[in-house]
Amino acid sequence: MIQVKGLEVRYGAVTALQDVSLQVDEGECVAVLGANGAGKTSLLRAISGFAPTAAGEIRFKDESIVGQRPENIVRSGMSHVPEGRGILGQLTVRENLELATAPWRRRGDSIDEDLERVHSLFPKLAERRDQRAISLSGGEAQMLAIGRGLMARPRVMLLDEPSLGLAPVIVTRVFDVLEEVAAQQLALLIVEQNAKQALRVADRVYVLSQGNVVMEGPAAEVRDDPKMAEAYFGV
Amino acid sequence: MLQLTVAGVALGSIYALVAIGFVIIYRATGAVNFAHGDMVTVGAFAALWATTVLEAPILVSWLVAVLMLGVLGMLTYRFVYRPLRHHPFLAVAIATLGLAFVFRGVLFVIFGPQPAALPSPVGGGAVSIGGAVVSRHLLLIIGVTAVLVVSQALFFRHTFLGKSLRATAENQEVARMLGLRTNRIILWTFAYGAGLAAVAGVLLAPVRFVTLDLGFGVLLKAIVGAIVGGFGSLPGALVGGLIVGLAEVFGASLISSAFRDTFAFGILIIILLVRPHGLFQVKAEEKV
Repeated sequence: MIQVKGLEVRYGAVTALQDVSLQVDEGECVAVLGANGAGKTSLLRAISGFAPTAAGEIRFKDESIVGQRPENIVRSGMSHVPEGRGILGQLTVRENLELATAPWRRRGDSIDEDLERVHSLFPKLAERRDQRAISLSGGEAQMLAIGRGLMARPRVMLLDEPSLGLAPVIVTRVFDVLEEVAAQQLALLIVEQNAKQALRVADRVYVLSQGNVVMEGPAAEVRDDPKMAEAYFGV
Repeated sequence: MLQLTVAGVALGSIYALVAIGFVIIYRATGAVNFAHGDMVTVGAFAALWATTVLEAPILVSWLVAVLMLGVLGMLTYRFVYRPLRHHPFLAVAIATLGLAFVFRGVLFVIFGPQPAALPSPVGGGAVSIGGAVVSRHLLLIIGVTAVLVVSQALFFRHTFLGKSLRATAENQEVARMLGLRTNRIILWTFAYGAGLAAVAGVLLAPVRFVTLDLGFGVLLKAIVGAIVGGFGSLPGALVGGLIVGLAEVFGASLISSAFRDTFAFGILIIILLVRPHGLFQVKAEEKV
């Protein structure tokens, strides 16, 4: 579904990613782990078109998407749930969800079924549908961000640190939902610092350190690998 | 008293229309459009051209003016705003100032310096309300503004494009992440803002004359109104515009018409002393 080969991302003189290759297959859940500053956000932003690709190749559904506008990449079936959740606080919860249907909705199409599905995953969002999104708690805002990602009817969903700033019990709930979503034919690419939660739901894992992939493999293997801890907490 | 109130609300409505158009573009892009006042002028001249050259009925000439300005707004987006959007704020501001002079120059070449009159579709007559004689055209100004303000509010609240516009104004990057084509949305915003300027132009023209300076002073007062209301807020632009119009008319009539143009700025200073962010304060996260 997504193939990244030799990706390099630079901001001026700073190299954020170097020679990164990874792959996400249909329906697969892939986690990219790494500490702060490892280049996780740059990776997702490069894939969805927000960060410029200095070198390398990014393919989505067997087509090169390097240089395409982000909104067109999203419209072709890739949701991006950004770091910090990107909630539109002045809009209501429902309006946030509704706008996310832009990729597929044509005049007269009903969004009720999609709303129903998101509401059943996150009942809190149904309760708060007419409130301004700025009034949501951190956990609710993350649920809204994920719900919005689903409203686009994507083939693959990119998630940037869904655990960020949330209480542990909420993090577990968020990842429970992601596990449920992953079981429904939707491919996920999650970048996370919270390795424990990410390893729980992922099929395969990449470990990113200082802009390079230092390790990859099935989640089960990485879970028990001592090198993992080194990649994480070492230099 | 009623006469003055109607005159003040009518003038304030013009300021409000101009302020709303100015603020809507600012909210969508973070850019100020100093050519907005001259777009008011161009709108009035476009209607004048339609009535004289095309011999169109007045209401048709209004439509022509609004459509022409819509296109002009789109061109402004494409050839002034877009090439400069990654440059500092000041670059866009200066470019639009330059554009204002281009508009003036072109109008001067085509129409010359002579003031011309654009009639009102309701004629020059007046109606009597409770003993007071009130110009019909002033009532038309108020009516048209009210209809526009209400339909605009409904549009932003209830249509997909309206919601997309609000999303784009709040956070363009997030709007793109939702798959919204923000370029197109901003293009329509420019068209709409310029269209509002045309409406203000054709409404104002029968009260003043159609001259090259028609819109310039109006934009200045409209910006004062927008700041009084809380810069960046649409309800603020409406209320602020009305306040400035009322202050101008009452001040000129009760105090001195020689100081006509100073009352707006007097109000501005007072409001900024009492409420530095204006009446409808725009919270930081609401800004573009």
